[in-house]
Amino acid sequence: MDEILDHQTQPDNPISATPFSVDLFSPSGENFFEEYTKKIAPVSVPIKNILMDSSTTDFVENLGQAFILSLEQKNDVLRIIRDILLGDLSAGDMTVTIAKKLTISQQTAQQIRDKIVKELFAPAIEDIKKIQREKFPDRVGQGSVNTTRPTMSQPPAPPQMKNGPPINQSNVIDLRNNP
Amino acid sequence: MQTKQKQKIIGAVALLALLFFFLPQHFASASWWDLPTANDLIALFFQTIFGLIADVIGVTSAALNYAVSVRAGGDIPVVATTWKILRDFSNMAFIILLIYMAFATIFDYGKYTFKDMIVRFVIVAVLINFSLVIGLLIIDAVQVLTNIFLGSIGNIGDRLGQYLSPGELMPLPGKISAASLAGGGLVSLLFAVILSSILLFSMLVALVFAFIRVPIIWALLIVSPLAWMSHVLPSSEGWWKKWWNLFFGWNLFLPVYLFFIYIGLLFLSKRNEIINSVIQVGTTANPANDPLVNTLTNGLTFNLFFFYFFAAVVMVGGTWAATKVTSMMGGGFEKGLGWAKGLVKKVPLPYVGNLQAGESAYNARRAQFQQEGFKQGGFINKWTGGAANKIYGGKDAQSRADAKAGSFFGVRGADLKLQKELVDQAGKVYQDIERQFQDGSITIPQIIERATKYEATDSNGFAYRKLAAKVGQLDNNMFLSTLHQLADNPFAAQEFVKAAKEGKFSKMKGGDLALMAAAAKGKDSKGVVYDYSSLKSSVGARREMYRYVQSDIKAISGLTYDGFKAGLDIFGGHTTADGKAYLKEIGKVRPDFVANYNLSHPDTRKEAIEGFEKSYTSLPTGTPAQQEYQLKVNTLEGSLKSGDIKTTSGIPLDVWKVEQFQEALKIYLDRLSEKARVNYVHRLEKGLLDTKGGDKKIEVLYTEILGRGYDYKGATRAGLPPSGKTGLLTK
Repeated sequence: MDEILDHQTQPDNPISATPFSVDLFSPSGENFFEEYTKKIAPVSVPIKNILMDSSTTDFVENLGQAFILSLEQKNDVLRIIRDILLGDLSAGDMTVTIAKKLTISQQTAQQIRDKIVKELFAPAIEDIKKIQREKFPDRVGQGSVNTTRPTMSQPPAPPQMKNGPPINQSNVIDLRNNP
Repeated sequence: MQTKQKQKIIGAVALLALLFFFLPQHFASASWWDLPTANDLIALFFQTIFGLIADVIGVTSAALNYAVSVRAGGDIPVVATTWKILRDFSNMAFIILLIYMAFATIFDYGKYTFKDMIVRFVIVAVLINFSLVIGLLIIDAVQVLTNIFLGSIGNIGDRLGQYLSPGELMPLPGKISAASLAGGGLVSLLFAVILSSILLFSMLVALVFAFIRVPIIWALLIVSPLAWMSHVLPSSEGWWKKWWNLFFGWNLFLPVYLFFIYIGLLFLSKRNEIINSVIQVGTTANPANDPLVNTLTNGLTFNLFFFYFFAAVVMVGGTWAATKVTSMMGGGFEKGLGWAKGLVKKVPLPYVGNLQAGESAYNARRAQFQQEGFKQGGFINKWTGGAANKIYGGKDAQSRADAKAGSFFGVRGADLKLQKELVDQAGKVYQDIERQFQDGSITIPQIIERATKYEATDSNGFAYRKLAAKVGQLDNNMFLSTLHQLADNPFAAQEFVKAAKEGKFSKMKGGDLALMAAAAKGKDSKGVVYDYSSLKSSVGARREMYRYVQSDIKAISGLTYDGFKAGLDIFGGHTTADGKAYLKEIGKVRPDFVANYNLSHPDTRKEAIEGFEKSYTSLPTGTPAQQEYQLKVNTLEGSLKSGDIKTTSGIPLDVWKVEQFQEALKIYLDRLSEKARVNYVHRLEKGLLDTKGGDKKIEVLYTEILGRGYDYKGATRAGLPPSGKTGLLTK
């Protein structure tokens, strides 16, 4: 057992947990599983998918490789994702929390946060916003999840031909005025 | 002198007198001493013949003129008197027909029953008294048409004489000479006789037809009551049609004939214009008007020759064409009658749409009544306390009686036939009500109301209950009551459960169904007593229920071990194909049942040991208890292999808590590749979250099976399965 635990502390060791199961090996409290599953059960399917699918594990694993994160750091990322999805953590605090938990720079934390929001949260963004609004009504808009795309300026309206030639709108040629 | 000689002398004198009567005028005025020459004799002969023909043509013309003007209808005493005799006779025959119809109805004989004949019978009984009037009406209607042509033509003889100028055919008496006779004049005379004969013949033909039509029409009017009478009986329908064909045909003959004559005369009146148009020359230089044979007569021109033939063709051909056309028109009567009938039948009527629809509906209802009689669940039968169905239960009742008698006397297959009767009879009702349900004519509450109103043994009740089952509206009470009522009809019970399977027993709890299938008796987890033991004999129905149970995770979860074994017994044990399939399906959700069963029966245990050996190339080791432990773990793992995430998640919590199951799942996971194992665990978490007791199962998964620190990367287990609880997976 110790061997396994030691093995897990290696920085290049890949994670196998999901945001849902990241802490299931160390339940806190007697009714942990009952309360935890009760909390998970009502969330929407898109959020449940991010919480429990292997694809999230793969995403965080890739994130860890990109930003050279240790196993524990990756598990922390999983926990932050879980907390955001369940409304236990404000999206506005995401960058700060990432920087603090992972002990990395604010800039790197911002990059990790952007990647998570834009790539991982995209399929469930509306559901996440809804949870965030319910849990943190006073913090809406403060660095919240924002994936709006830059808007393109309207192209100029074509000039109107006031004195242009008369255009027959149909295919019928009016011969009445023909010489 | 003898009488015969006197008669001969008188005859000869009369003939001579007749000849002198027709003798040309110049001979009459000649002096007696002028002896006739050969020319005179020839001329006399031809003129006599020609004169005879001309006189007969004149008489025929007058007769034809009269014949076409004769009205076949009107007040004709001879017709009216004889028609009355036949009408009275026909009215008497109605009584015989009524008796015949009554017997035919009683014995359901062909098309002579009340239903088949009554409509025509009533119509004919009324109209037969107006048959003469109807006939005269038709004659008068046709006469209107005839009058149009008669008015246009006038006197046919006059018109023919006017246009054909038969007098031109014969030369003037002074023109006949020896020279002219020798130079083709004879031919001229011969043609004159031939042409006039043709004209006479054609007029005679027309005269005969114009005359005989009147007595024929009278005869048809006289027999018209019999013709109407023949319409009542299907077998004599042909006479009725034949009469109408003849009547219409002979009535229409005259206007059609006059039409052809009219056309012919129209052509003749324009003969010069026609000829000139054809040869495109002026009348003065018209070679057609030149005499064909010179010197003797100016009348025998090509023009005259052609139009004589034309007149003959029109007269004779017109007669022939009239008979053909009227025959066709007469045949059209039948079609017209059919069309009129069809039209009447399509006239909209309240409640039934139209007569045709009403007739179809009546026939269908009659057939239904003949099939079902007074239905068991019907109002009349209930009102009479069931007596109505016993008096007349239709073909269905007879089939039931046959099957019952067969069953009593031990006829092979009679029992099953008896049971099938209900299903077959209900099948027709079921088709109807299912269509009504699809159309929205009946609603779910109506189906349930009717399902409970009738007994399941009644075809209506069975059909409604079956539909309720199929649309997933079957609750425990209706399901049980149906099976109880069908206790003596296992075939129908089985059919009913099949329908319920299609509806997935939607309103019933899976657990209850499992207990019913097992015909179990006891208390549930909430202390509620249940007793389904009465279903024990409904083996067919229970077999269908077990088939459903084995396909439904929730229903399997409701099975007890005894219920599981009862199901296997119903499928004929673990050696049958059904039994093997049952074990495999049940094992996915209740692997503990299957493992216990397999290890407790010698032959299945042997198979389990062989399976173990195949997996580990070794037999179980250790103490008997350890060997048993290993065998069970291996058997449980086998069930997990055949299942999937859904069935494994559906395994009840009690099983998850079993140590051997936990070990089996560990081994199962351990055999998977790293990636597959990670995926499996993640999907299992999701599956468990949706099941009853999912939180506890997840707890078992993480605390007992995976254990703290499980890294999902364990190498494939190489050794034997554990002989006791291992905790963490070992490498």
